[in-house]
Amino acid sequence: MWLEILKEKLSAVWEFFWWFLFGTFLEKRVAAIRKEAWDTNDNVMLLLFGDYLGLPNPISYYTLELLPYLAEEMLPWQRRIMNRQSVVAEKAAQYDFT
Amino acid sequence: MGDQKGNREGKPPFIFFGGKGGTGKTTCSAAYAARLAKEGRKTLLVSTDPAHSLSDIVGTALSDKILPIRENLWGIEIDAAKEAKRYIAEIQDKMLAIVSPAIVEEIKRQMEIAYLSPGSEEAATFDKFVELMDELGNPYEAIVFDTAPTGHTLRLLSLPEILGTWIESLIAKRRKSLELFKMAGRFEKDLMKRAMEDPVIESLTRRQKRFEKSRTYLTDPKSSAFFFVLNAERMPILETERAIELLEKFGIPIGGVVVNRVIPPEAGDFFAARLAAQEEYLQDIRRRFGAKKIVHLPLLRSDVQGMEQVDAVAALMGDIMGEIDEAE
Repeated sequence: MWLEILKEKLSAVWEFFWWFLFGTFLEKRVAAIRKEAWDTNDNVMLLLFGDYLGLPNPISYYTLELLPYLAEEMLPWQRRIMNRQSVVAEKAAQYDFT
Repeated sequence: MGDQKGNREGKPPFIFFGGKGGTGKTTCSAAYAARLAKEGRKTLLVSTDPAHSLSDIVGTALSDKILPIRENLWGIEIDAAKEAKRYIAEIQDKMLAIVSPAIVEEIKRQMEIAYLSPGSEEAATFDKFVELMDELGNPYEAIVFDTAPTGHTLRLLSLPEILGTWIESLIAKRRKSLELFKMAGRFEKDLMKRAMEDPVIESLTRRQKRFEKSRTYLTDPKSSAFFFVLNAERMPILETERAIELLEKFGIPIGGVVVNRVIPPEAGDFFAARLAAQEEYLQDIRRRFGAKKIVHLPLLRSDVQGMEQVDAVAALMGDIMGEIDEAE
């Protein structure tokens, strides 16, 4: 019984430390990659479904069959891409100036 | 690929007839198909013309399902709008199974846009083409395509070339994005999961393979030949020349040109002036397309209707077609 309680406590402590370390040392580095990943993904979406934004796409008929897999990303993507205010600010946000 | 089976006597199993609207493509393709059927080759006659004149010409009501016309001869009229609708309905069904109905509702508008986009019917027709080409060998040994008017056809046939490269770069881009997700996901399970299973690349690769296959079908002189039907007039000659240039650029083998509705010398005084003008145009055709096979078909007393008349036209094409086949 007490062993299990101890185990639980220990894992809670470990989790705290893990997230502390993650936030302190790793997060910023991973964040840059994550940002890049999402940006590339947005570009792929643009190539696939650009015709919804008014860019002609020679294979819009064929990209349609990808819609079931990407439907959930579709609306957030559209919101993001339509709301882009400044590309410079967006890029600058990736770098740590402090 | 079944082209060994279909390629008896060295004739390509896929024959395309193209040209401006109203030049007699459908009649020519019907006549050629009838001839192949008479030779004992199981032949499928495919019409993609939205006007669908094939039913009238062969005297059998055809539909978007393959129906027999006579011994060794079958026919089908592709309905591009219907094919596109079916394709989109399939996607909608799939979507309902994967994502929530609320999102499907939101995205319906986008599907409408895609359905109305200019390329959709061409793409649907093209898909059907490839589907039929895959049928080669069971049991059809030859497939004769009566294609829609020129510009449309050209776009249709150049599709695999253009789309192949497009898809290739799409796959590369998607791969890169997934790589990044994998790197970023080392400490986050959600992102990792996202990067590991990707139906998008799978689906794109399947498309790419299909394009590659259709490209080998279309560009191999052993499997395809394209004939242009034209009349001995200025505009059709120029248009055909342009069309041939384009197809050759994409590597699609040209079988020859069929000059239809040639006014016979015995036409009488009324046609005397036209006859002289025609002679000039025929010379022009010889000059421009001399390197290819040229077939002349005379102007007939009436429009071709019913298989008997088709056979008559086939007889007129007769040995000339044989000559073309030897050249293949």
